[in-house]
Amino acid sequence: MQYMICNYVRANEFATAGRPETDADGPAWGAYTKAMIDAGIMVGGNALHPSDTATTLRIRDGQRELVDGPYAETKEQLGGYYIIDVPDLDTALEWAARNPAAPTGAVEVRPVVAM
Amino acid sequence: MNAAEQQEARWAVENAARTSYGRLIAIIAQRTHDIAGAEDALSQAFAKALETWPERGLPDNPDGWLVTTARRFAVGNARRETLLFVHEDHIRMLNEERTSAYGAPETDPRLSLMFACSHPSIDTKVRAPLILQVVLGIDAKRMAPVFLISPNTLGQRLARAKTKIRDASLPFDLPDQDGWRTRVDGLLGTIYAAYTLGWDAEFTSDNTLRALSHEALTLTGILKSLLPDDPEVLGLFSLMLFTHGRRLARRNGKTGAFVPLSEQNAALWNEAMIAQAEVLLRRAGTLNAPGRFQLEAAIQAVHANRRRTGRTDWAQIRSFHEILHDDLPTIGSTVALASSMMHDGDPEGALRHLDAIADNGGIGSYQPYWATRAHIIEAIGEQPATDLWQRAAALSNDPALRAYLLAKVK
Repeated sequence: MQYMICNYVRANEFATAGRPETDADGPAWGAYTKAMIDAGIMVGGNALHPSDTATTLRIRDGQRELVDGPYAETKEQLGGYYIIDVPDLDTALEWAARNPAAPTGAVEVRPVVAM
Repeated sequence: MNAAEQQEARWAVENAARTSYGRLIAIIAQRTHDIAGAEDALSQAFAKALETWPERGLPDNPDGWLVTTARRFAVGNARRETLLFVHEDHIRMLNEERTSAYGAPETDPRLSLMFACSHPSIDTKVRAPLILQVVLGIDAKRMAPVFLISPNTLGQRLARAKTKIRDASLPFDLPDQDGWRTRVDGLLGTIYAAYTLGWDAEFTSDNTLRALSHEALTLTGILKSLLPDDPEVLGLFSLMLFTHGRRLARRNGKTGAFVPLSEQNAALWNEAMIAQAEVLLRRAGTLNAPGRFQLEAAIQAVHANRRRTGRTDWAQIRSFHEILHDDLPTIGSTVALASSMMHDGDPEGALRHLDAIADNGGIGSYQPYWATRAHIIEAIGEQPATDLWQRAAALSNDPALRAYLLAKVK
C-alpha cells in the first residue's frame, strides 16, 4: 500500500532556496530520507521551494484567476513530500512520527489510490 | 440542597467516574459480556447521577446506585435495539441485585475483566488500549497518539474487540490453575506495553497524554491490590516504579536535551519511588519464583544503586540480560544484552550478538539496534559509525533523542 507523507513546515523554516545548509533540520532530513531508502520503502519524493514561490491558478465563472503565493495562507506550508510503500497505515504513521516536520509543523499521511 | 452540597454531589459523580469506573464496568458486563453495552449504560447512569444527585442528595451507596441505574439503561437499550420484550430479564436482574452481596464480592470483578481484555484471542495490538479504556475509562482519541494508531482506526479496533468478547463469550471467569501463570504474564505484558508507550511518548505529547504512563502505573497498582502475592505482579510494579522514579532526570532541565541513563544526575531521581521499588522487589524475591519482570526490575535496581555507590555494576546487569536472552531470544533482548556487554567492556562480543541478528528483517526500523550498533562500532574504533548514528537518529520519533544522536555524527 502506498502512502503520501506531506511535510508541512513553518514558513520560516524553509531552507533558503538552493542553500540546504541554511536549514537547521538539514541533517535530520538527510538521515530520515536515507533511512526510508535503506528500509526499502521509498517510492519517491521531493523537497519544494518555499511557498512564496508558488503561483496559484483558478477558473471561476469562466474567468481565469492567477495569484502569487500558495492556494491557502496557513502557518505551515507544504515543504516536500515522500511516497512510501508500506504494509498498512500503522506502519506509515510510524514513519510519519519520525518526520522532522512533526515537532514544529505537521505531517499528513494520505493513502495513494492504486491505479 | 444548597450550592455547596450540590457541588459536593457533582464531585461525588466525578470521583465515582474516576475511581470506580473499571469496577462498575466489570460488574455490569459480568453477566452479559457486553463491554460496549456496559460502557453506554454506565455513561447514561453517570449523566443521570449528575442530574439527580445534586438535587436529591447522594444515595447511601453511590456505586450500587450507579450499577442499578446502568443496568436499567442497559435493559432499555437492549429493548430498543432488539425490540424484544426483556421485562423478565429486568425483574430477574433486579432480584439478583437485591440478593447478591454487592460490594463484597469474592474477587474484584475487575480482575476477570482484565483477563478478558488480555485474552490470547484478542489481537495483541489492541489489548493495551482495550484494558486502559475498559478499566480506567480512557477514550480512544486520547490514546491514539501514544499508540500511534489513527483515532478512527483505534476506535474501530476497540469496538471489534468488545464485540469479540461479547459474541465469543470469552470467559469472564478467572483462568484455571493450568493456564494461570501464562494468563497473568500475558496481562502483565499488556500493561507493561501501555506503560512503555506512554513513557516513550512522554516528551512528544501534550500534558493529558503524558499521563498515560501514570494510568498504566495505576492499573498495576490495582492489579497488585488484587494479586498481592504474585511475584511477577510485584516485579512489574517494582520495575515501573524504578523507571518512573527517574522521569525528571531524563531531560536537561534547562535545555530540554536528552540525557542517557548512564549520565543522569542521580540526585534528580525520586527517592521515595525508588525505595518503594526496592522494597517490592525484595518481597517478590522472598516468594522464590523468578520471572521476566523481576529480572527487568533487578536490572533497574542495579542502575538505581548508582545513587549510593556512584558506579554501575555492568557485569551484574549483563548477567541478568544473559538470563533474559537465553529465556527468550528476541531482537529486543539481543540488543539489550549487546548493549550491556559493551558497557561491561566487551564491544567485540557485543558486536557478535548484533551480527547474529543482522539478517532479521525486524531490525530495519528498530531504532535501539542502530543506536547500540553505532555505540559498539565507535567503542571498537576501527570503522566510522556515522551512517549508523544517522540511521538511529532517523528512526527516532523523539526530537530530543534525534538531536542527541545526530550530534554524535562527527
